[in-house]
Amino acid sequence: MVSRRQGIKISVTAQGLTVEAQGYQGKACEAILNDLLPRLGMNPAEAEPKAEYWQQEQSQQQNLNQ
Amino acid sequence: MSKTLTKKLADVHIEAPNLQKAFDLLGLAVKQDAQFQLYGRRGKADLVIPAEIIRKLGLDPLKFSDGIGIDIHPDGSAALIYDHYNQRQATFLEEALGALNELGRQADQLRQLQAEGYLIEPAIKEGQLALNVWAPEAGTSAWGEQAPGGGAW
Repeated sequence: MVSRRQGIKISVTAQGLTVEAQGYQGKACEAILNDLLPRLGMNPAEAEPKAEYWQQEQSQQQNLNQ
Repeated sequence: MSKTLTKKLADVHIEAPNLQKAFDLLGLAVKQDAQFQLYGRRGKADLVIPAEIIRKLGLDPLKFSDGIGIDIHPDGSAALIYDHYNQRQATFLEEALGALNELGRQADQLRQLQAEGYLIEPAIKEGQLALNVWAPEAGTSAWGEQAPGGGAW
């Protein structure tokens, strides 16, 4: 079985540092960001979910409704 | 005829140790208080980004120079020193400096995560500078189950 890595990616951009979770889905993304961002001097409350986040949430909800 | 530009950057407050730490985390060997070649003369700067790093970043190779200099003044203001043929590469650095400074400010925290078993891995390609911080591998994660298709926040 191939294990998939999980973590965060910190990118240097003209707007500053951007952080995104990698290898997580749905609420697990929030959990890792809530854990790591404050340790890196960032505020998780300022994080904005990407489009994929809502797509995953919607997909999970549809599965629950079936 | 080539011109050497010294461009004072308006919107950044830089601390030299932070920049050095950021480049260290990214695995990029910048030179401190070093000389470098500009068109027809030698320049000197607090930090020199060698041509090799410019190449690693996927930017166009430097012309008539073997580096781009960054002077950092005691008040935190910074200036780039470069040949005008290398304006695009200098602009990339100018735009990245603020975030690099911030990354360096968090270097101790990132080293702490490393000590806790996180793997810190530079991810540099085609004009993108990034660090992957991978959680310690374990059978189950404290943050939830692994996503089959990868997730995003």
